[in-house]
Amino acid sequence: MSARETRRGAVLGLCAFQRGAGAALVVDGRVVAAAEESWFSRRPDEDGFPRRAAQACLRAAGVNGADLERVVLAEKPLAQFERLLATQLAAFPKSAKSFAGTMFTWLGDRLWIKSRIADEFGLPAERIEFAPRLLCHVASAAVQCGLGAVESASVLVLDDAGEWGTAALATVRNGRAELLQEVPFPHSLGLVGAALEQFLGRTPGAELGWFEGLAAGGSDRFRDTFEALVPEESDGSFRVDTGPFRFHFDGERLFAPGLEALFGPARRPGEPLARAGDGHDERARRDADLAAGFLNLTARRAKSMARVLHTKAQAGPLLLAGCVAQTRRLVDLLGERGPFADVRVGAAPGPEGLALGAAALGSGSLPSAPHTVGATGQGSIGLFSGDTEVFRADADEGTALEALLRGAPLAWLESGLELGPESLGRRLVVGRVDGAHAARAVLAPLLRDGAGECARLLVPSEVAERWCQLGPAAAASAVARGAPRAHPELVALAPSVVGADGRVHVQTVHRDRQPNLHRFLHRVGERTGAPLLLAATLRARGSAAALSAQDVDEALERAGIAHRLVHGPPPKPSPQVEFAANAERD
Amino acid sequence: MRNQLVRFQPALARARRIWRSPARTRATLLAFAETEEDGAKDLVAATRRIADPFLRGHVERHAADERRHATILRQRAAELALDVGEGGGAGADSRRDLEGSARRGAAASHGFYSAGLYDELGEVAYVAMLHVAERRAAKLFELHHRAAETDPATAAVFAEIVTDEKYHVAYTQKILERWRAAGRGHEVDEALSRARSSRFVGAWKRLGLRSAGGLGRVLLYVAYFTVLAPFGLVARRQRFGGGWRDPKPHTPASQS
Repeated sequence: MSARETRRGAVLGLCAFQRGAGAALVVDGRVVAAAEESWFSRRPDEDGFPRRAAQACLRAAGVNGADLERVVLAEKPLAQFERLLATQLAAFPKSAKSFAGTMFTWLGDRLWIKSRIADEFGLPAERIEFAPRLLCHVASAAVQCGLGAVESASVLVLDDAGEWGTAALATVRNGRAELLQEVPFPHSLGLVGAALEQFLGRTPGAELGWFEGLAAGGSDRFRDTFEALVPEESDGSFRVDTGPFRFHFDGERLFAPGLEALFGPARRPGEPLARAGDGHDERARRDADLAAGFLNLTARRAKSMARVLHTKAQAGPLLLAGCVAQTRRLVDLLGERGPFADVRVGAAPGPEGLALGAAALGSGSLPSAPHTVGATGQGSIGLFSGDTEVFRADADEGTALEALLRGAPLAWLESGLELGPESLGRRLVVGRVDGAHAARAVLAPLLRDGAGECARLLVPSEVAERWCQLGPAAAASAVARGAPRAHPELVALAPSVVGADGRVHVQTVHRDRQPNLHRFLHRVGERTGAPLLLAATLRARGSAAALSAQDVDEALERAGIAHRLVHGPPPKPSPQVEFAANAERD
Repeated sequence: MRNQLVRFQPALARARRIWRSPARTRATLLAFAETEEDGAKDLVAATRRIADPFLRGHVERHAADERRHATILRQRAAELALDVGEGGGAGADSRRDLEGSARRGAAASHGFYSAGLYDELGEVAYVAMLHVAERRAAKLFELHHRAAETDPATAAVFAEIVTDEKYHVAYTQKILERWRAAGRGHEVDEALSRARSSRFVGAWKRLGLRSAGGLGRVLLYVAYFTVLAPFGLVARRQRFGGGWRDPKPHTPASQS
């Protein structure tokens, strides 16, 4: 028996063998580190065992794997296996091919995950626990939204699939998360979205947020069709007519020919999409209308569910979680239409936050507030010491500002990595907001690199309401993200970022949380009269996080970005720790 | 010669199929770029350990070539992507799709490097491995150069790469011959033989894994239509209703 004592209060959360694979560590009730496996594997859709992410978290805290009080997996494997078995048998004989593939994976690997974790960390089996996916989402949302230990909240989870539940109503009270009710599989808004992604030629389940870019020029002409596909139940929940879909028994082909009968021919896999309104054809308009229709559907269903939740929980603000919560405008629509006045969403509402939720649940009482180690954490959740890079600085702030004012895009780099699909302040490309082509100027370097996203507006939180209809609760929060309505002054100044529906993607920058970016915004304001910047996440090989300075150099070189501004002291070196009993396998 | 032609034509036909599809073209270019970039990283790591200045100079140039190849391959992929739309969302979409299809349907280029090979293999075996891998890469890129004849811009990229790959084959050959002349012929031959057989063994292992996986799936398929068929016929009647339901109580130690 080891002479070492267990590190009391050190709980590692894991999300394994699914999209969003990662790890998070809570020590003595505080979130110490969280990391995604994709940062290390450089595969944006990493779905393996999060070995390197766990190593990085343990190193950040100087905790040995065998000394963990417990490891919590964000999944109930047997429940998920049961769901797969039952739903695939119910589709007999159509599910023959997918059954063979699914069972091969589960019988060969996933069912034995407890012994895999024990082996990896050198832990006895009794220190390994399992938490249901939806409950992990609830806990993760509470931690990410900085819910205090005594603060209560209602949580609406809109996810794809894990165990049997796909959506849930939940509460957080006195540091405890509790599921109230759930919608069972196969009735899943997330899976309908994934099927539509595949229908439009994309990899399903990547990020539902992309619908917003596509929906910018779309109309709601498919409203009746979507209402028939996903009707609302009398109790405020919903069900899915699975006729035009296959996701309930096939993980590869998610839609059936019936969907083509409803919406026309599907796009081929990998076929590029064009935006409607740019002189493109009827199919481009169809795609935009589909995306808009799906977003409007999710908003209607979420609104009904929020009403039910309000009557059942009547607690505090509304937190959104799950992969569907990645759509920015959902926050604003729910905030505008009630019944909750304060609607919040974390930086990683999707599967990237599951490990964090598992660690938080395992620590007994939910961590009271985001906390990170390292000099540059400032309340963000992620990895802020040891494994992160030291960037090469090549411009002072004054020089960089002049370049930016001349119209050049600027790379904004800070040490550390943030959890979630978007960088909120550490790996950004920023540019001026004014002019009809400002968004294109910011996005063009990223498109040259083969990557890109919608540009968002950075605005100091204390003046955000001057430019858009951000609710008071959102304006007061540390980081608010959403798609509020733009005020006329902003429409006139920055037409390229205001959508056809008059909404703008916004990220507020708080003085305490992001002091460097906040100060820079005001310097821009002193020169231009508007403390605003456009920003997009800088990606290296499709990932928002670049671990090494070399990766960043290459990404900037490929994107043709000549100016960079580097902030933050170098991260502290991590202590050497033993990861697992069998660490020599490395 | 005839046998070679017989083998070569299906490969050429496969390569031509890649360049006929815009999505596969871009995916394959990105997959090639990634492999070239990984190769460059390994070569850079090796240059820090190589004592012989003559060899180090060549390997440094080789690394620079691989990095340049990654850049021009990506540029070409991006040009093809830009041809189809500039919308931010659409850009992000195509990138992710490409990455997905890069793994699914794209051809690999060298596919031979892994991190820190120089330390693992030693000097002679490393150069022998480079020689074998570059010879194979030269052939592969020549094949794609021919297959991409309908797309002159892409063909030009491959023409540039083929020229460099021929240089890589030549300098590794020269180094190996120098070692042979210095009385290390047996070591060189053994290293070359191991490099070739490791490819063979690797291919054999991959085939073995595929066979095992395939067999497992076939057995599950058979079980589905025999053992599970009665259960399936019963389960077909099951309807999964919507509406709210109470969640199962959470027991941390339980897997279900």
